[in-house]
Order: sequence, then C-alpha cells, then structure tokens
Amino acid sequence: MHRSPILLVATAALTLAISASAAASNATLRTNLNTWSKRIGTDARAVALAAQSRQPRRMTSSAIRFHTDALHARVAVASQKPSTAKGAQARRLALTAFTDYGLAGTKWAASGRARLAHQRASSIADANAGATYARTGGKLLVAASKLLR
Amino acid sequence: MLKQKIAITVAVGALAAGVGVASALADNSPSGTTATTTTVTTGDQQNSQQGTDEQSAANDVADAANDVQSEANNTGADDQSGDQQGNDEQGAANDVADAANSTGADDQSGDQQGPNDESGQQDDNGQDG
Repeated sequence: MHRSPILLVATAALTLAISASAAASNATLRTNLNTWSKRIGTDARAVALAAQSRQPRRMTSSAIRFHTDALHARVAVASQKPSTAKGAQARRLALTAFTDYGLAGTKWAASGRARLAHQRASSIADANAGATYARTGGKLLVAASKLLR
Repeated sequence: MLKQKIAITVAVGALAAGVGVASALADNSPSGTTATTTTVTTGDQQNSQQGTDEQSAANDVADAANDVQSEANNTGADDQSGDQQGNDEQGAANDVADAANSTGADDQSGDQQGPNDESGQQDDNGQDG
C-alpha cells in the first residue's frame, strides 16, 4: 500500500547517486589533469631556465624529469574511469598529450646530449622534433581540459 | 498509521543516503590537490581555474621548446662552470653522468661528456610508450 512512495524516493535517491558518481568521475579526472599539468609546467620551466642559461647538462637532466613526469601523468590519467562520453574523449586526448610530452622530453634530452657531444646538427634536429611534440601535446592538453569544463 | 510512519521514515532515510553518497562522491579528490580543494570556490570557478592551469602548462612547455631550440641553434659556448648535474635526477640522468665521467678526453675545460651518450639516448628512447 505504501510501497509506491518508497519506491519513488528510493529510485530518486539512486538516480541522484548515479549521476553524482558520473560527475565525480569526471571531476576526479579533471583534478588529476590539473595536478599533473602543474607539475609538467614546473618541469618545463626548469628545462627552459637551463636552456636559457646555456647549460645543456642541466637541461638534459631537467628534460629527463619532464619526460618521467609526463609518463607518470599518463599512467595517472589512464587509471581514471570517466563516465561520460565527453570525459572519455578528454581522457583520450590527455593520454595522447602526455605521450607527446614524454616524447618531447626524450627529444630535448637527446638534444642536450648532442649539444654536449658537440653534434650541433643532431642537437638542432632533436630540439625541433621535441618542439613539434611539445606543441602538439599542448594543443591536446588544452582541448582535453575544455571538454571537462 | 505505524506502517505509514515507517514508510515515510524509510523513504526519507533512503533520500538522505542518496544525497550523502552523492556529496561524498562529488567531493572526492586525490590527496595531492590540497591547494585547489581547500579554497572555497564554486564549480564554475574551479573549472575556469583548471582550464587556466592546462593552458599555462601548455604555454610553459611551448616556451621550453623554444628555449631548447634556441640553445641548440646557438653557436656560442655553453656555461661550463654552472652546468652541474643535479642531485635528484632519475636513473637515466645518472646514466648520462656515468657516461660523462667514464670518458672525456676530447672536451673543453671540464666538459666531460663523451661518445657513450648515444647508448644512453637509445635507452631513454626505449622508455617511451
């Protein structure tokens, strides 16, 4: 006799919980992306500072840290389970972005090593390749964040 | 009458539980984000700030790319004295240092990086994925 209102309220509560769970999954992904973006940005500034100071050895080690953090970021984002189509798309873009950043770090490190070995042509080629990966990764990262707003 | 009260109580309880679960899930965030979660902001403000952080990171990376290119294209001498290996580098960085320390007859004034760099570079490339 009184089952209908109970069922109605329970259904409403369940719906609320499920929708909140979906929002929480995307929010967690967003927070994750935010955290790792900050770290990547800090690493990138260290690379830039070393390059500006014309210290290729320091630039190389900073680039390796950038590369490592990019891969860690990728692992962190890969573990997220977005529950909406937009969230899933954002996750895919972010994964590719961090992969590109990892490759950029590798190329920057290779450029620094080539610089230290006085292999100028190789250093320039690696720097250019790294820049391409870096810019592509940046575009994808920004696109991913826009999807999560 | 008693049954009706029980029914209402159960219904209210279920709704409260739903709201509680929703709140708990919506507020859930990793422990490493204290700075962003302790600030009282609206959802829109958080989203806007988050977008700014990604854009800022992308700008920092693009700037770094430009600086690395400039350094690679630079024909001048590097800063030998200030270019020291940090203490907190990753294993691959240590490989670079080891390679540098193990060889190095052909470099200028303390710059001991040698031809073993190529192997280190290949190892580093192997980490990508």
